[in-house]
Amino acid sequence: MGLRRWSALAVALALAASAPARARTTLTLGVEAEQDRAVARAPTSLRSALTGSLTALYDDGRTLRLMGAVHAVRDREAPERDRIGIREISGQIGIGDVELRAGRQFIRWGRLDALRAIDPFRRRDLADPLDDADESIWAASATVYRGGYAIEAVWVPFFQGDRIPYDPKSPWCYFPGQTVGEGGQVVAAVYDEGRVRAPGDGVAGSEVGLRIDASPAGYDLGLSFSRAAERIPATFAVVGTSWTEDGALRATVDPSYATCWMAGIDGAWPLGDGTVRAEAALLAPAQGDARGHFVRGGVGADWPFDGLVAGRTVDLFVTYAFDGGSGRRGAYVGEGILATPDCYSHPFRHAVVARASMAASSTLALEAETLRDLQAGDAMLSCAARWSPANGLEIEGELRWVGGPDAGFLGRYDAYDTARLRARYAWSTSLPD
Amino acid sequence: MRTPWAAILVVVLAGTTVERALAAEPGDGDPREWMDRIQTEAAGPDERVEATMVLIEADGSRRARTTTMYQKDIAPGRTARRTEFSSPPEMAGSALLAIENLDRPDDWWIYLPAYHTTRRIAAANRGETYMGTDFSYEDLTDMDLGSYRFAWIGEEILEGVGCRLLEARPATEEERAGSLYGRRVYWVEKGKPVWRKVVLYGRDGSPLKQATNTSPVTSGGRLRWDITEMRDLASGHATRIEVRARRLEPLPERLFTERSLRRPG
Repeated sequence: MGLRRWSALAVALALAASAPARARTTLTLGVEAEQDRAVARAPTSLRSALTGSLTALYDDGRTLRLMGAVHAVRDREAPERDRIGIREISGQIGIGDVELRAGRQFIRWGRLDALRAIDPFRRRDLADPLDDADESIWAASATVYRGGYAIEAVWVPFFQGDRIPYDPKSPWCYFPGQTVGEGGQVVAAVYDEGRVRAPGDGVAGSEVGLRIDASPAGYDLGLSFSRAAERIPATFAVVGTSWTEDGALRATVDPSYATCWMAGIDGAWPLGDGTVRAEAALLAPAQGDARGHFVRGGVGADWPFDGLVAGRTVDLFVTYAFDGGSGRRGAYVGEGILATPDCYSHPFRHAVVARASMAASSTLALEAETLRDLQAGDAMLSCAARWSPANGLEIEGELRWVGGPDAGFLGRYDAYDTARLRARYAWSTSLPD
Repeated sequence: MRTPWAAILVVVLAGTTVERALAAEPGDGDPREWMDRIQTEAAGPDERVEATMVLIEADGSRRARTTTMYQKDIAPGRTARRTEFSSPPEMAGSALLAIENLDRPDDWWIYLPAYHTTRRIAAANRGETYMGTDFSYEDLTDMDLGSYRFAWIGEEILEGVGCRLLEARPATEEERAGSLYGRRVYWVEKGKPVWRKVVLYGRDGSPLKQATNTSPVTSGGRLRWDITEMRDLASGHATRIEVRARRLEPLPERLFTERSLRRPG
């Protein structure tokens, strides 16, 4: 048999082996309405948003999985949140022991339930930093599964920073809404994003990571290494000012980003009815950043308490996190530097997050969560109820209290105790094979 | 060319085992051996099942979830099971992986797309409700036979089919403390290594749940059921699993790893 015939046979066998057993294509349409209102000192509407989404997923069950999601957001109260575009689009193909995945996707590393030390490819939406929302990132990854190990290599081809609010009307904007003008009078300030000073252009700005996962003898262990950008700017440099027609100072700021080396270890293991998780990472800023290396870490546990409330099980999650990088950026504030948003990338030096959740019935879930800064003393507490009266429909009410010293990350939002009402409906259908 | 004697032997022996199982009468043999046969029959080779889970409230109202379940024997006596939800939309993308172990508690992981992360969950927590259904995590894995005592306790005709009643009770302190159930009674179909009904009793002896299997089919020489219903006897709530498609096909081992639970969508 000639080489060509062998090749044809090999291709035919490969195709037969990878032929979809029963492929599935699912389309999901979603709509969400949300109203947020500050209810404390100065009651005001914070968010009045309508979101629409369309998600398509193709899955052959064994080899190929493709998904794309687009969304459109219109927020009457916070126009900075408006957007229309791709939320996620990626494809995954599995060949033997290897899985390849590329596209705009979410890549989360680490194991803690909150405040992870090892999460270099996470991109955030800081339009409301208390929401702790993720943004997808363009990346490619390859994972090799061999002998109980999963070895994943990640490549992020170009720099993508967190979404940062520049509108000082937003309570979550880092910049002051007023400044001192010529003659000493207080004037309103507005901000424009100038040139993004990324860690590098093209390939020089790309990020790489390697992660090894194993689950030997009843516990999980992960080793992570990365050279990745910090997605919060290291500095905001004011590169130009002008006056608007209504007398406000317009400042153009250039965000400048740094790169960080990271080596980390994480693990999870069962303990009684619960699970313990831990992470530790050594981070070393690169590219002439004089902050030097620092350590981040944390430990967490989750535990179910049977029959604690009305005979129901309450799941409790507790995480303690330490960030040695907190407060280190103060040295970089200088002339022409507006400030450095250290609070976003290192919001706490010592912090605890605790969450309790309970299924009150088959349609009602209750959750309470608190985040406490152990150093500055500021804190947040939220209580939420989610009711799902029908398939695809979810109605959620939440109350959130924030308070404490202004020096703390949470304390700065002291005036924004919030009541939130959300309604979501999603409808999905599977297309014929 | 070498004759694949080993492969032929495996096929013959497997056939012999099934024939023996089919020929023998439950009640004639060791009840533990019968439970072993039942679990072996249910495990089987690589299998992919598409099913609809219908949650039935006590008032009769229903909510449906669509799932794909994958099963693979990863080592002798060790089965890995992976379940993915594709609807309703709020659950789409959620996945669960369970790997049975012989010498230590099973491994469990859950993937929730909202967090983009896989989490290990404690096997000791197996009494917890599985994704809002009437199944607990414990219901979805095989019994560790060494931790149970088995006995034949009677016979009964169930919907016209002769069954013998096989009782299983935890035999170790660890199992007594860790299991939701103090006793299980299986209606084993005469002549077949399958059960048609099981009643699960609490540690206090009261009946907690009842599962029934209906619509038998043969898939790849294995006995299977297209409808399984688990009913909570106290609340009247039930979960019914209706199989839409079933395929025996080789599945890659990577599907049964913690890391692979994290997938697009």
